[in-house]
Formats: sequence, C-alpha cells, structure tokens
Amino acid sequence: MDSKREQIVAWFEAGAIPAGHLDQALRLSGVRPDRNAWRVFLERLLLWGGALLCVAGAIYFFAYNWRDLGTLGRFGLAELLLAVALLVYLRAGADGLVGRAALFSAALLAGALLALFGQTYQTGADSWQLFAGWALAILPWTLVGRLPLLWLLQIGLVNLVITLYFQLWPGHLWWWNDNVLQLWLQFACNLTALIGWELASGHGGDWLRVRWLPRLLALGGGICITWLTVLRLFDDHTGRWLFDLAAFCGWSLALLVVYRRLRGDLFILSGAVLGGIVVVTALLSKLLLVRHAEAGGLLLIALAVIGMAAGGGLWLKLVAAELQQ
Amino acid sequence: MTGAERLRLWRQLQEAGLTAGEEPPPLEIATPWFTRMALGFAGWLGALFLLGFVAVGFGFVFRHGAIALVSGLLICGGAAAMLRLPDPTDFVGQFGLAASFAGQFLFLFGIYDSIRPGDVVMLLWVTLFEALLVIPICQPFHRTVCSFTAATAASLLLARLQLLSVVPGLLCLAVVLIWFHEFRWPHRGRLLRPVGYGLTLAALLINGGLYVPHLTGGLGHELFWRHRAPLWNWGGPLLLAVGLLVLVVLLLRREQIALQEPAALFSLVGAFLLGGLAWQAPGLVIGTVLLLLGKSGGNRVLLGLGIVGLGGYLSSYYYWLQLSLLVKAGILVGSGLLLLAAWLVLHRAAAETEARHA
Repeated sequence: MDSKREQIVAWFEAGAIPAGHLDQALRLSGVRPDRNAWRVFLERLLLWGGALLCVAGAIYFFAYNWRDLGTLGRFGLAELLLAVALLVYLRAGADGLVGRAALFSAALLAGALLALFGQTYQTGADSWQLFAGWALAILPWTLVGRLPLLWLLQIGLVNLVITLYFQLWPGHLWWWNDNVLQLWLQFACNLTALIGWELASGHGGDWLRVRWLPRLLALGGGICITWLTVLRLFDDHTGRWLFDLAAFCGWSLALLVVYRRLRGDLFILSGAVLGGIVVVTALLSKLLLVRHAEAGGLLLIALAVIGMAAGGGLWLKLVAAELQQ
Repeated sequence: MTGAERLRLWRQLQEAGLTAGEEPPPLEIATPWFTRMALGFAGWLGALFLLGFVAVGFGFVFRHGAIALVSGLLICGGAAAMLRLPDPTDFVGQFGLAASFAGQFLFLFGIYDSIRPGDVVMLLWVTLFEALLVIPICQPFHRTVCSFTAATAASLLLARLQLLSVVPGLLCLAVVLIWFHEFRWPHRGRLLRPVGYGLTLAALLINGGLYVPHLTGGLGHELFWRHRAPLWNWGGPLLLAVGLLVLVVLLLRREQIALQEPAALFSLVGAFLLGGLAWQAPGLVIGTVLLLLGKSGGNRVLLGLGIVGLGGYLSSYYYWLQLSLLVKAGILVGSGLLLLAAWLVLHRAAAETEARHA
C-alpha cells in the first residue's frame, strides 16, 4: 500500500472497518480533509490557479501581436508584469506560497518577454536559441528559488532546446545519427539531473525531498535510453547497437540497485521492468522476425512478453512486500 | 506505508472505536496503479504479437470476418474465465490480459468485415462491446482501458449525431457521481474505481486536457467544437457547469456546511462563476472538478490527473482557432484575476478568524 487511503480502503473492503465508520476513519487519518485542510487547499488552488491563468493569458496576449498597442506599450506591459512578479517575490520571500507562485510566474514571463523580443525585432534567432536564452535567463532564479516546479521547468527547457536544435540541424557525429545523438544528450541531461537531485536530497532542506521530480527525471531518462536502444537495434547493421544495449543494461542495473537497496522506489522499478520488457522484445524481434516473420516466432515472442510481464509483476510484488515490512 | 506505520494507523482507528476487530486483517500486497499500468502496457505488447501470430499462422481468420468475430468472442470469453480463476498465477493473469486485448481487436475487426457498418453503427458496436467487457473481465487496468474506449467511442458516436457538446457535461456528471460515491457499495469498489479512472481519462481527452501534439492533435477539443449543434450551444456547457455545481453542493453537504453560511455562499458563487467558463474554456472546469474530487477523497492520482488536465488544456487551448488569441487572453486573465480576488478574500477571512481565536 502506498498511502493511508489505500490501506483504509483495503480494510473497508475486507470488512475490518464497518461501512458506517468509514467516513470517520478517513477523516481521523487525515485522508479526507477537515475544514482547515480544505481552506489550505483552496488557498493554494486559488493562488496558483489565478497566477498561472494570468501568466497564460499574458503569453496569449503577446502572441496575438496587437500592433495597436505599439512596441513601447507591449514591452512596457511585459516588463511591468515581470517586475510586479519579482517585487511580489522579494516582498513575500522564498518560503511562502505567495513568493513561490510569484517566482514561477516571473520565470514564465521571462520566456514571454524573450519571445516578444524575437517577434518584434525579427532577430532571425532560431527557436532553440530562444528557449536556450530562456533557460539561461531563469537559471539564477532556479538556483536560489528552492522550488522543485522551477527545476522541472528548467530541465524541461533544456530537453526542448536539444529537440529543437536537432530538428533544425540534423547531422551526424562519429557513428551517431542525429536522432540517436539527440536521445543520448537528453538521456545525459536527465541522468545528470537525477543524480544531482538524489545526492542533494540527502543533504538539503525539505523541498529537496519531494519524490515526484526524481521519478519524472528517471521516467524521462528511461524513455530516452529505451527508445534509442530500440532504434539502434533495428537501424544499425554494424554491431554498434551492442554499445547502446550495454548502456541500457548499465542504466537498468543501476536503477535496480539504487531504487531497491538505497531508496526503495517502486515507481522507478516498475518503469525499469517495462523498459526491460520493451528492449528484450525488440531484441527477440530482431533475431527472430526481421528476416522472415513466421507464426512460431511471433507466438514465441508473445509468450516471452507475457512471461516477462508475469515475472516482472511477481518480482515487483515481492519488492513491494519488502518495502512494506 | 511501512508495517509499523500500518499498525500505528490501525491502533489509532481502533482507539476511536472505528474497527471491527482486534487485529488488522492479514496484509494484502496490493499492486500500485503505476505497476498495473506498466504491466498493462506489456499486456498490449503481448496482444500485438498474438495478433501477428494469428494473422501469419491462421491467415483465414482475417480473410473471413465471421471467423474473426467468433474467434474474438471465444478468446475474450476464455480470457474472462482465466482472470476469474480462484487464484490465477501471474502468468495466467498476464496471458488473460493480452488474450483479451487480442480478442477485442479480432471481434471488432470481424464486425467491421462481416457487416460493413457505417461510422455510427460501428461506433455503437465498439461502445456496447467495450462497456460489456468491463463487468466480466475483472482486471483493473483492463477495466480502465475498456471504460475509456467505450466512453470515447460513445463521444464520437454522439459527435456523428451532432450531440457531442453534451458529452463533456455527461462525462463530468458521471465522474462526479462515481468518485463522490466510490465507497457507497463496499463490494463494488474494484469495479467502480477502474471505471472512474477510464471515464476521467475520456473526459480529459474530450476536453482537450490530454493534448499530445502529433498524437492526439487536440482530437477532443476539435471534435467538441466542430460538431457543436446550435440546439446545444447552451445545453451542453450548461450541463458541464451543473456538474461543477452539483459537486460543490455535495461537498458542502458532506462537510455539513449550511447553505446560508458564508463559506457555502463563497463556494457556490465561486462555482457559479467558474462554471461560466464551460462555454468558452470547458477544460478548466473539468480540471477543477478533478482537483476537488481528488482532494475530497484523498486520491493523489485524481489530483495528478487534474493538474495534468489543466496544464494540457492550457497548451491545447492556444491552438483552438474558434476564438482569437486576444479573446482567449481576456478569458484567461479575467478568470485568473477572479481567482486571485477569491484567494485574497479567503486569506483575509482566515487571518481574521485566527486573530479572533488568538
């Protein structure tokens, strides 16, 4: 069970909590919010929702490119909004709800300002340069902001910059084609961020202990390395795909060791199991089907996939039981 | 949750007299949603190869629609039987899942090939067949996929009948009723929750909250507005707004807040104003509904889906061409300012209450 809610639901369905007592049990355990918890939740929802809708509206507005407003008017408005967000952050401080929402809004508005600059002066800059500029511009805020959401934006922007760069400048480097090189760079980016986050979370404040960000980073890294391994399995006929396969095995092994022994994270382990199933299936397809697809080969692969999923599921259950003990 | 935390929770409930025994029931290792999802995808992968095996090894199945139809039905029946075994092994469970997906494809292909139905009849078949499979095949991921497929097919069916604008409202009401009453029938939870997730995903897709460029292409969003018939210009969005209002009223009743209380009036006025967005930005209403439902039931998956839905919607809304960017900007900024004003009122009221108690 990964939460109190699921545990109480399981007891309820097993008859250990009578139906008439369920509501009280959920409230007593804090699963169902009381009035105070509702107030805190609504405050967060209204503040974050309000700030993000206003910023999204501002971005839409600048994208509309309303010429009647004039260049000075548009830049003045964008800079005024950015200044207001930063002033609110400075006044409210980094630790409060208001300060965090203001800093995140400022980070988004910085992107809008850069886009407005490119739109107005037609600088000829490529879109990857705009996003790279945005990522660089908000880096100092990310470093001081102590806000996981801002880190997510930062890392997301770097991934986007890599994608846009390779869309514009496809090419080869050594034996890598552009697609594989792009995936390698994105994998390296997500892996570096994941390692950094996990190392820092042991020594930093509470804000570093969130689990959703390292999970997303592991997911991003896992998708990149799995995809590039599968691509190379079918694209490469020189045997170099073995290098990618070895890297995938190293990644999977590292995940299994770290997230079973040190961190105990079933989410990441489930992703690793799925990645393993996909790569082994691709490998079997390359060996059995690429030259000649036969019914026997297809059935064998189907049974192998089902067997791997069953085995993986069983192993994950054992790990879950270990973690619960 | 560790064993110690589990025991502590049990003792806490026991001391409050809320449990029906001295000791907690034996620990049942439940599979979390993300593991079910990962294994479910593996089931799909297995189904693809099974279909390939049938296509290559028994080509006549795909050459005669009637044979595909009957084989599909038999395979689905076998899968349902396998998954209903008293104590199926993991291999049998996974095989049943893959076989069912393959059987569904064969059956629907058989229908298409044998009777060559038009769009409407085919969508009706998909809706009915997928909805029927929800009950006998008792696997959570399978139930979620079938509910999602049935709801999406029903939405497309209504689109063909020029009635799609009522779908977001209907889905919203269904989602509200299922999640609000998820504990009403203790023995139906394992059916209701996966169905709830399937309908929730369909509601997000239809409202453009699951926008994935190049994959969905804002499918739901485009459909929602292209097939909007004049008769339902008001009726469809009204139904969606009613879904939000119904939820707020139900929550107020659960919290035993009388409608005359300031908190109730504040909530109702907020829901009324937010419901107004159903006409021009329906995805924001669905996202808010999911956040409220997630919070009220302590369901972090629903909360996450609400956040993803709102983020996805703000991305897809940009590409929606029925309104100019200027009008959309006005709608977003207006809604944002309204929320900020509501936050200010709530924040001040809370501060005053704290000061009075101090």
